[in-house]
Amino acid sequence: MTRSLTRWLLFGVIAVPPALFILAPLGSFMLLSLFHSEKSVIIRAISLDNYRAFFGNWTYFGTYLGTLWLCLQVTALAVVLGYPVAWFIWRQKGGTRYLLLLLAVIPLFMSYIVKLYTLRAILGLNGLLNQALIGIGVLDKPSQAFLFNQTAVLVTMVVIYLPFVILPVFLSLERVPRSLLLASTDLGAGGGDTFRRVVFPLSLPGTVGGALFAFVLALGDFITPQMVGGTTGFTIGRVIYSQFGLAFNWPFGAAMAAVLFVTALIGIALAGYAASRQRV
Amino acid sequence: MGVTLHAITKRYGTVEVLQPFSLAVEPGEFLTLLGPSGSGKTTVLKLIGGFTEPSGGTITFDGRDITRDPPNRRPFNTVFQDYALFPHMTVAQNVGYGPLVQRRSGEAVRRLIDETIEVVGLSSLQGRFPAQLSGGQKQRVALARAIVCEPAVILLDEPLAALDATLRKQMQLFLKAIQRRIRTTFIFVTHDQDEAITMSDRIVVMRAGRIEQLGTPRAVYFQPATRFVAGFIGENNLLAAKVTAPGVAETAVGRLGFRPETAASSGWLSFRPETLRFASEGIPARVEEATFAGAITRVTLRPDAAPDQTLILHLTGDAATQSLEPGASVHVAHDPARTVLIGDAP
Amino acid sequence: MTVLVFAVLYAPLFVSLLFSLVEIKRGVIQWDTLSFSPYLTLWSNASVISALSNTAQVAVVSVVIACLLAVALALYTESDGAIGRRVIELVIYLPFLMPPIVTGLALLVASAETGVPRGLATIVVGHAVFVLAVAYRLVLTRLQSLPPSQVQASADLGASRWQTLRLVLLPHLASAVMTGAVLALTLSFDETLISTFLAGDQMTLPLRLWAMMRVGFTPEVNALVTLVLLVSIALAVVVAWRMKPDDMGEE
Repeated sequence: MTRSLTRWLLFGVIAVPPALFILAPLGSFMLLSLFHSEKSVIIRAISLDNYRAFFGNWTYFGTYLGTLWLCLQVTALAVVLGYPVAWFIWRQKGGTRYLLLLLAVIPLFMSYIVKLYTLRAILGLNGLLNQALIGIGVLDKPSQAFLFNQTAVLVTMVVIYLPFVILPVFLSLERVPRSLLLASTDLGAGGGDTFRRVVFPLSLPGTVGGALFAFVLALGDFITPQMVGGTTGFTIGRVIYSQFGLAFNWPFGAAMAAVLFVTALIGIALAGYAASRQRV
Repeated sequence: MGVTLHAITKRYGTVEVLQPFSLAVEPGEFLTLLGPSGSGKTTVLKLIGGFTEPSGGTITFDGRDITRDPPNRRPFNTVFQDYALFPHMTVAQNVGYGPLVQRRSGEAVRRLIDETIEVVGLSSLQGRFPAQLSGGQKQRVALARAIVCEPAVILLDEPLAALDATLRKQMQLFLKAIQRRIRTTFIFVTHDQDEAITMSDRIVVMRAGRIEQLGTPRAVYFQPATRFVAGFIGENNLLAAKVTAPGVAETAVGRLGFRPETAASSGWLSFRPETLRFASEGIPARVEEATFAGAITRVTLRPDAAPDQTLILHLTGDAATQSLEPGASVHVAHDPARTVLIGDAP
Repeated sequence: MTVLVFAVLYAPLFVSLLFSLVEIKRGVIQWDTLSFSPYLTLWSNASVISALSNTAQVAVVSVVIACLLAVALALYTESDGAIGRRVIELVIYLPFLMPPIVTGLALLVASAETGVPRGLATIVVGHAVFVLAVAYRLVLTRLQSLPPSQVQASADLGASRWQTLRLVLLPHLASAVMTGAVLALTLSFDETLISTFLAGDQMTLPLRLWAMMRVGFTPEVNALVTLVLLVSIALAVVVAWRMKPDDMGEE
């Protein structure tokens, strides 16, 4: 056998698992999005009806845009809160730094469902937040305002996705060579200038990359809105999920998920581009 | 107008990296700190630059105590070993960084920046980013960036270490020329003794946190103060010696004359390989090996009187008149005027 | 400020710990009911135990599959003249980079189209595919850190390709595979979004928790939650400890 034939065979063999379990399912669900469903029966006729129904109907398209906006807010907040924390950890030396980093990363491993559960307990009518606020006198009776609305979804998502942002920010800060900091000081810059002109610009690409990654993850979250969103907290994820549940319109759900998929791809591509602009 | 170190010591934990170290740097000179790794030379540079604090002693500049001043308050600038160019800024922006953060602006400053870039020969590359520059070019940007701040002293931390041999030679001459032109004090750290000899006005030879010798390149080369200096700089011949009369000493290979500099009565005679020549009379010896090394031919010899001793002789190309086969019998003569006695000291 | 953020991030742990030990009546903490008994009665709850065992089975199987595939794929992409390297890597990373809802849906549709019933097996596939990216990345990085001269030296000394693989490459990769396995176990343990689409009648622990969550906040549920958190944290510490000398902060 010629070498290149062997190579192609090897490629063929090794490519089977990924193709079978990743590409094929993706393909089949994209295909499904082109069919449509009538009275719980799937009609396999290719058409773009689902997509027209999605983009044309403000209920759906609007929810999609609303979700994009929500996730952008979540990501932005996560960066605003997470960057200083990562910066603080980065400024520590040796053992302290490692310990703090560990503490920041552990929440990534904490059960997702559990976080939702406890946040619901905290934000609820009888929850800790209300109790605390009553205790210090800000409120005189428990408020319904913290749970079962879009704000609750926002807050909960920030708590869940914050650790996903802290780590990439830290990594991008860590990549700034120490000699650049020394050089900046040597040339007469104080701490503020060094941060503003050297550290921040150099850490930005990595930060944006990490933020985009968290954005993509948040996009598809459908359990959070269901658990803390009540009737007003709706995301496209929840809508998609219901197509596979109660509404039982798989093709339509697949179409919306396809839109989400493409959005996520764009997000990942942007993140990759941002990371490639990292000059250190 | 000079930097002076007064009895500086530096400890890391229990390890003493610098023993009490005093040095007065002359304004406008090219001073090199030369030594093997671990000698403390980089530590001295960092202490002067303010990147680390001494465990004891003081540093003064112009009579003023600057020991506790942070780097951005000292009138010195550093050229780092890895250049430390800001990758997200162009050459011009890198060079302009110092004035920018020191809040210096205006026509005069802009002109200074342009002139400095021109002095280092990078005017045509101003708009490039560091990633697009070669090693030598990056070096020059780092230098320009330091020069433009008009410091009293420029500190250079083995800046040529990453360059290949030819480029290194070019940059050595270039640095020397720049220093002559702007007449700023340069304090230069290297472990390469050729480099030190070529570029410096004075050399500080260091070992294990102490100064072995401070002197001009000629002094350090022809009149090494200690055996370490004699062996570290260039190749050298050393013979244990006892002084029998002024300018005469008894050694294992016989009685040799030397130029008396000190009153020492015993020690080591030191003479460079190029001061030996083949003669009809002199020290009898056998040729061990002759290696052609381009500019010189390096000959190792075993004296008949002391066969476990080795002598090294350098010949320039066309002076190879004698047969240099291994085992050949020869006579070598030394030059008493260029032979010195290093007193007994560790 | 960092303290505040950390407090918020760790709130779930403290809250569930608190609520597992005491009862709440109408929003008021009944301190007199403080006891550890929920932790004990938990073990007699059949649905919890079965969920736990399902989660363990799924985790082990999917991690083993993912690690085997990761090693095979990493060896392939790093070999000379490998065809389609970039494409394969892209496909491998895809399920990890995509919102889990997309991965879950894709596999759901595939299972429906091919007539495979949903159950533990489909969950295993879902987890394996998701976790593969992480394991692959760890193994690949470790593989790339092996100086090519070692493989060449092995060949030069007369080893066959199989021997080089067995005696040089695999031992070098072993530590990365272990770390990847522990990391993958942690991820699989907690995986919720993909599992919701692929579960049949059998539930994994996160799914069981979700169901219990809709019902209420008994101390038992909180006890379970606290335990889950503590185990996750323990696993996280193990992973961090293993990765400390090599690469810090690699996910």
